[in-house]
Amino acid sequence: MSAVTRELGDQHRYLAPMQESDGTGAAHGSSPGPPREQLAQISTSEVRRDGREAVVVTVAGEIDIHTVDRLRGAVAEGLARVVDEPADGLALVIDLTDVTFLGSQGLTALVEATKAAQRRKEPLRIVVDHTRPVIRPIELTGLHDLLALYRTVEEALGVEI
Amino acid sequence: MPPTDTPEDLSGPSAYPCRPPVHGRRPRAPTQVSLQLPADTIAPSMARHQLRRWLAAAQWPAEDVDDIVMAASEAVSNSAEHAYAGRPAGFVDLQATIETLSDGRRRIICVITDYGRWRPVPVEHENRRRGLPLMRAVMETVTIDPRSDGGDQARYTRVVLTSRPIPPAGDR
Repeated sequence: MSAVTRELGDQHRYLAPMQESDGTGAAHGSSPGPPREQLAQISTSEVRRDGREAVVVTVAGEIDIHTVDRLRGAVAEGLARVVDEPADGLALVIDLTDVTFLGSQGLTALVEATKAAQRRKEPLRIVVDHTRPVIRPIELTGLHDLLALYRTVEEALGVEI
Repeated sequence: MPPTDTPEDLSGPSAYPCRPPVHGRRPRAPTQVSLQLPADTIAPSMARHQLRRWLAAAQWPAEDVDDIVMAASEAVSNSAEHAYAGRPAGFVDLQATIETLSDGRRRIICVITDYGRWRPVPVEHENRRRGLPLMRAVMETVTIDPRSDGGDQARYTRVVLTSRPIPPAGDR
């Protein structure tokens, strides 16, 4: 089912596809928006920089109500990994450099992640390169004091550039 | 040789005098956009995508676009999350309009409407605690209009966002 655009003088009306009768309310592939699978890309890796090791959760794309659960899952997995290692071993870093949208759900997930890391006495380091989409909601909600923010993964690992 | 039609030939005083500048013939962006979105988790991204396209066509300043998209996304998200809980999912309507003020400055009026019944969401709920202040921080005004007619009558919730005005067109 394709979206319909009808011109009404100065108005454009975009009609999203109607609900399927199974009542799931799911939008389907031809809807006028980004494909759901491409909304956010989240991956977890272990990196080493000059002897410092870390689990890095790399996030790209948009973090909103549709994608935030995947972020939560990746953070939980990362926390489990660093806790298993020796105390002075791994750090946990969330790299938001390539995030293009961060809404209230994403902010909540970052706060929850920070608190969960604190309970485990593992610092959670969040990388933002201070581009507007990510730093603005963080600053507007006063979270730049609570979250441990760094400009690069290297900086988060305390490595001299 | 006759003048060609390529824009490169129309620069400076040597341009053919009666030919209108190609750069002036830009299609005018629509002053209003209307979306009907499914009330589910994909709706905010659809709203953001369409709003960005529309505002880019209207040559809206990038930082103001980010603010409008942020606020609208939060409002649509609230509707998707709370309006139809426990019942078959309905729709969220979004209508955005470019309004020109008497002094020529322009702003966006964005109205997000759902036709469900918002579950009572505790103010302490994490997302509500951040979502509404975020909306208010990036918009000039945020008005939330719950209508409760009582009994079993259908309710709707309407959020009206007005953006901070930008300079008049051509004032850049």
